[in-house]
Amino acid sequence: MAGVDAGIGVQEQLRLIAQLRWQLFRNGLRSIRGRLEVVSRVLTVLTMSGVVTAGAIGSAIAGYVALETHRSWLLPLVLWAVALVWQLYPIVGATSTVQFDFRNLLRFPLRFSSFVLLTLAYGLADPAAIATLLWLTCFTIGMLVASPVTAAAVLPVLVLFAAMNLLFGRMVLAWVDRWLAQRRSREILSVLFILLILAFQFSGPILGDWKGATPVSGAALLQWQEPLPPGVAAAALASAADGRWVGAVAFALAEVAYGGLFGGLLLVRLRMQYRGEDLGESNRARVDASPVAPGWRLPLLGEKTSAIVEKELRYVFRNPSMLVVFAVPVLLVCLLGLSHGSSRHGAGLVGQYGQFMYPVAAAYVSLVLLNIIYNSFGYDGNGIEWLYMAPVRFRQVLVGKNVTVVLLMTMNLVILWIAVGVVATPPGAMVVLPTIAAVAFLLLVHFSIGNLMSLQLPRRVSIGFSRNRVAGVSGLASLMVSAVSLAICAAAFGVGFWLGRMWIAAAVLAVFAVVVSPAYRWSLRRCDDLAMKQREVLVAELVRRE
Amino acid sequence: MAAPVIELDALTRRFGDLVAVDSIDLRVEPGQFFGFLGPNGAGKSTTIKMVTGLLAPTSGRIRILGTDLVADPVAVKRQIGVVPEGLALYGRLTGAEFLNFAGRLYGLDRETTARRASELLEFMRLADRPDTLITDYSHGMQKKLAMAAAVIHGPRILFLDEPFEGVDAIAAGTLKAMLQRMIANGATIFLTSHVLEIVERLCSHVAIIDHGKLVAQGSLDELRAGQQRNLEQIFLSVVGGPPETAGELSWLG
Repeated sequence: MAGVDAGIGVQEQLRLIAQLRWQLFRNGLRSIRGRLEVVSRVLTVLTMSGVVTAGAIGSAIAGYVALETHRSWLLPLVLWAVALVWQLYPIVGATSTVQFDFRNLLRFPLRFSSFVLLTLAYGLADPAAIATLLWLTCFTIGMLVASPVTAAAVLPVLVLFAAMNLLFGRMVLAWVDRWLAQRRSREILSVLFILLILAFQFSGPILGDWKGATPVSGAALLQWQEPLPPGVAAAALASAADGRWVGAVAFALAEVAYGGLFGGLLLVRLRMQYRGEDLGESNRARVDASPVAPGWRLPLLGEKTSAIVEKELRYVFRNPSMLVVFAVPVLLVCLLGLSHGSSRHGAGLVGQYGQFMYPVAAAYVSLVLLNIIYNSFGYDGNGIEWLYMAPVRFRQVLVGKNVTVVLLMTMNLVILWIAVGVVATPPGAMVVLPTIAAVAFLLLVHFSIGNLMSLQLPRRVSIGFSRNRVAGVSGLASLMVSAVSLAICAAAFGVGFWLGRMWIAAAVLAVFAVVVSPAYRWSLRRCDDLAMKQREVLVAELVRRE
Repeated sequence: MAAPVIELDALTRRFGDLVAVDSIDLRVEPGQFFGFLGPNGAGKSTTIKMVTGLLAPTSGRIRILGTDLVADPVAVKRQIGVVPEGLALYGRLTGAEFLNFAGRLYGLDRETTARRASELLEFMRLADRPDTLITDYSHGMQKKLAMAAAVIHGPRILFLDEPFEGVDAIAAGTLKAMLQRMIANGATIFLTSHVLEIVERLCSHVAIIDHGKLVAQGSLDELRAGQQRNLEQIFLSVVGGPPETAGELSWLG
């Protein structure tokens, strides 16, 4: 321990960490990308400063008007705005910025008090916190100008409110961080996130049905928000403004209780981090060994192709985002039914054109599902090396992957048939047959192009929520192929409907499928050579070295 | 003398201006436990990747068991097993599912694959985690599973890239026992490793690569050349020792 001091103070530790952050920033400027990021950040700051300034002026005016004209409903409005910006902006911003992980500092002799202080200081240094603190300051000034006598209540209440926001924000991020640290909880969160996005997407049609309902009144809203932290702070301010000091103190104490709760939960998390918690997932309970069951035997497929299909299907059903692929078409059918009258014999789209709901939903499924064909190896990750080391030809691998997509599409068509049958009437043979022919045609077109593009432009995809399942160019190609092939299918359906003979559509699309099949066989023949040529690209893109 | 099972002739690999592997000629005889050594960045992994089909050579020829790897890769791969640096595992499968997948890709039938998978999982002490996904295995467990997958078809040659890196003493013991059993049964093993003690204990023959060139090759006895030297001393004499540091870091310890 030669030359090591007995210990350095908290102040020195904070100074060293500030210096570390500054050094990281300076080092970031060495690359062009780093400099561009700084420029973009400066531009963002300039833009945001306009918004922040407007918010500050608005807060000051709102504070003044609220007390001067006794419009107490303005108080919760401002405090909710402050709380929402403070809490939501860091979550949105976290997706685009590199986050600093304090746990990295725990290898150094850092005290727990320093660790807690750093966590809180980082929360205060967040742009959203700085902006909202400015708004709160202006809000305070506005109120004090209108009613200087309330200073004794306004100042502590708003300081408490700021502290509560700080503790809440750090507490939420600390716990979300913990859930994201483990695969299972991370996947559950990703499914919830996907469902949230879907809820937003489908909110339009659902809200459309509620147009006739009584709107929620402002008074009711004010009542609902009262027990929540911004409401409690607003109630404390309103009580002080009215000279009800006992009420102000009571509400302020409620605010303290909220702060205590959030602070306690934050401390629990930080204490676990400080003690060096182990979130590893390799220490599960052991069970008695049992013989390994043989793999699946799939009819008409050889041993190798069966093994590939089995592996692919296991991957699909362990991937939460792929499960959404099954949920979306059913939701779509149900919402179509809800939006246009769910009666089996009602008017509207379902009543008149219910028979087309099935092919329309199938087309939608093809759009959602078939783009994975353009990045067939995306989920293989490190396993791609296995495919190169094993005595298997890439055409066999791709046939296995294609068979998997056919099975998934078939499952979707069956689910859709049931869903349409429940919402409207079960689609008859004259709708089902052309739909199947159209799907066969679509699959062969997509396989012919997608198999080659999978080898040309691979992209590693993480299991869980991922918006980019294919590389940019492949995504565009998938979209264009979909547009053209779906237009052909729609034209065939249109002709069949116009002639009143849907079997013509089925026959035409079946012929198209037969015409396209040599292209599929040609692309498979090309796959082996292309896979060998592209092996370094595939391995470099898909394999992650630990 | 039996025909070599691995023959590399003027094997070269360039990455732009960098010559990672520079015209290597190498012969490995059947039944040898062959250690391929070299400092970091010497070209060991690049060589093993080329020999196992993961990387294309810039020039030169690779013959495995008398078959040209480029001309008939599938025939070669049927007879070899590989544990690459990245382990090449499918994280979303369980150990048993992965072995079932691996065995059938090597051409075994379902029943044989399942039986051998059970035996391998038992031998590797992985059988008590039937529902655990590979992604949740520890690094040592993943390494043992990768080894099990590489041998499930009973390969005649086994290629191992740093098999003992990040593996605890118990797992290393298991792996060594399996490798020695394979050698006793007539297989050939070709491994790269930084752990010279292990190589010295296991390997009968060694080659040393430095800056892409083969600088030494032969049996351990040949490399000792009658002197009482261990492998570390041989290695340092061939690739050069660490720089002089006398007087530096005097405060340390």
